Amino acid sequence: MPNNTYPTSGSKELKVSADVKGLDEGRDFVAQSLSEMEAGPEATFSLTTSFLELFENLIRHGYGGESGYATIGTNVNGEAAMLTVTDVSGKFDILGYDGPDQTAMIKAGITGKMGIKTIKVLCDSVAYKREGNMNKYILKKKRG
Amino acid sequence: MALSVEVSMENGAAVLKLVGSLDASSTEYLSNAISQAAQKTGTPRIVLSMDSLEFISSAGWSLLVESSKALKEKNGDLRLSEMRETALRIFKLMGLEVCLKEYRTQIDAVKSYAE
Repeated sequence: MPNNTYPTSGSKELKVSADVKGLDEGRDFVAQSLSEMEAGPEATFSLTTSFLELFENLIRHGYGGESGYATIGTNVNGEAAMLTVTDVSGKFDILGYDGPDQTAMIKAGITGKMGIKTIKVLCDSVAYKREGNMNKYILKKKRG
Repeated sequence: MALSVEVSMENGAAVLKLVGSLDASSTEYLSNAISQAAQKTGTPRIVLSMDSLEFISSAGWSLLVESSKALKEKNGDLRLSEMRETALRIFKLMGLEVCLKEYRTQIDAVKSYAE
């Protein structure tokens, strides 16, 4: 039965290098594909910003400056918009990493570890899976 | 959607209008733009106009905090204006008002340097 409330659905995928060039390409891909699939402005903003935070951490901590790649997937179906990021860096759950107290760090002018908190607030659900030699992050946001 | 910056002068402050996305791919570019604006204008009073900034990541916020701190040491500052509601939400969530001043309009931000 067709979903008349949300007529558009679909999924798209892009493989990028795990560096700032890949960040640039990935950000545009996530924003554009979610917009095209009518995820809605709030979901598009939340998942694109979360992508930036996740990917910046992946470059810095996952691959630690070494070359690598990541596969980015976007999916819109029914009431949900979803972002998946898969990489083959060492086992590391970025989403589960809690940094030091942010308030003290911000006062000192150091703003590290803010990204993970941002992801958790912007997204309705965040999940990490280790599949074989891959890290897979799944972020969801209600369409709208 | 890469970042672009337009620089203008208003009442002794350098106003940098940001368009696009401020993230790890563009922090170096903005850092250079802020330094050049401060040098060219002879004033470390910087205002960022952010209504056309679509996305900003923590790498971008970090740059703004560090730039503000560096400019304050030269008796200046970096002040934010016209943030979108989405960016403002993250700004408050992170408690960044502790170290960055934010104004609803660009005019208010420029005027604040005269106070």
